[in-house]
Amino acid sequence: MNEIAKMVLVTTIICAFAATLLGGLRNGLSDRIAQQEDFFVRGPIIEELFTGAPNDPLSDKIEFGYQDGSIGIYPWIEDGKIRRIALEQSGRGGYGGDITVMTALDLESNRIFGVRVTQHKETPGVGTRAMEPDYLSNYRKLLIKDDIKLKNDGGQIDAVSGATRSSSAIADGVSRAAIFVNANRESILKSIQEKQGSRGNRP
Amino acid sequence: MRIVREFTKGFSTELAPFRLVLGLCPTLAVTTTAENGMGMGLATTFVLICANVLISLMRKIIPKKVRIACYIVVIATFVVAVELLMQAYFYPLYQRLGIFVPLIVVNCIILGRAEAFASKNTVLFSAVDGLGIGLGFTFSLTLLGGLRELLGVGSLFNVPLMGKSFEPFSFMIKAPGAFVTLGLLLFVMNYLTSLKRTRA
Repeated sequence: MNEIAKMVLVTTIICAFAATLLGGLRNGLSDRIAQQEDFFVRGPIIEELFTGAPNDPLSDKIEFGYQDGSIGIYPWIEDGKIRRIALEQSGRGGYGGDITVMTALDLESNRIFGVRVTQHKETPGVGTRAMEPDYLSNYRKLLIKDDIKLKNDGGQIDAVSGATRSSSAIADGVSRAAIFVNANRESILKSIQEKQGSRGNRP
Repeated sequence: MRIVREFTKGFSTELAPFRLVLGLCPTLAVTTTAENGMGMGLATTFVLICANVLISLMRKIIPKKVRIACYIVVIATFVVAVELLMQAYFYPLYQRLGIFVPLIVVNCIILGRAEAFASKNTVLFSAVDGLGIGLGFTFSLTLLGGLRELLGVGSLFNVPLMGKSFEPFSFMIKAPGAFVTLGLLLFVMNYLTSLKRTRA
């Protein structure tokens, strides 16, 4: 009995130590990790989606508070007007888990401007075929009012054969972005303008 | 001096990938360039030293029946710590090593040292043992990665070395190149040992 008690005690102490160390480290580093992800993952993707933007969408990024957390929104500002915005949403139901998708929306035409995948755990060479820019360009010009879905589910987008689940998770991510922007459009625009105003730029 | 011996054995008789043929999964998978090999090696070294020190500190209180579970928790903790630190400070390296960073947990060198050395020796010797074995592992991975990068890309640590007329063997940076290079290095190692033995 004594031996069992000792085993339980020691393993508990070790696990408690592990949990404290990792919890502390994660809290301490989470800001820095988010910064690095901005720089090495989202940065290049935003630059690709927003080539030719007259402003710098990365430094004009706002953190839009929503429910418990916040969502980073990158604006394309031209002649003082917010013409396009890009934001990340996770699409549910990929083969290896959720797929995070960066969707750029054109606010003037109310259409999708571009789509890129930022994070995923899909099988290289199989699921990743649904992430190639050629395939993702199918999303361009879709109206954000429409329900964005795969054709199998009664929507507009073809799935990549053999990568249906990856395709459907991406469609889900895009559709979440469209729904989010439709629902919060005014307050998003206001936050971007506030940030521009506070920096002394004319919005 | 025992302490010197514990350190140098990691480079000679117990050189992990080439002498003991241990830890081959990362050795083969990530050594496409010298830099990747070195990054992987240093990450493993860090985990090895920390795990050795902690396990040696607790060697008298860890009950024998649950020792492997305790070792694995300790090792996994440091691996996740390395993963977080890498994400925070060396993000491009983290992107390149990908899934192989979390897989350090199951690197048998680390569990092997915990079981065979740290659980029986003092903290100082365990730390030195971890450092020696870890640097030996780093050296092996850097050598393998360096050879593959030199022949497969024509550069070393991203510095082009082979001149313009060099046509890279792209074979070398693919998976079969790893097996061939490792096989040749093992051959060289064994040949050197047998030479030494016949002379003695």
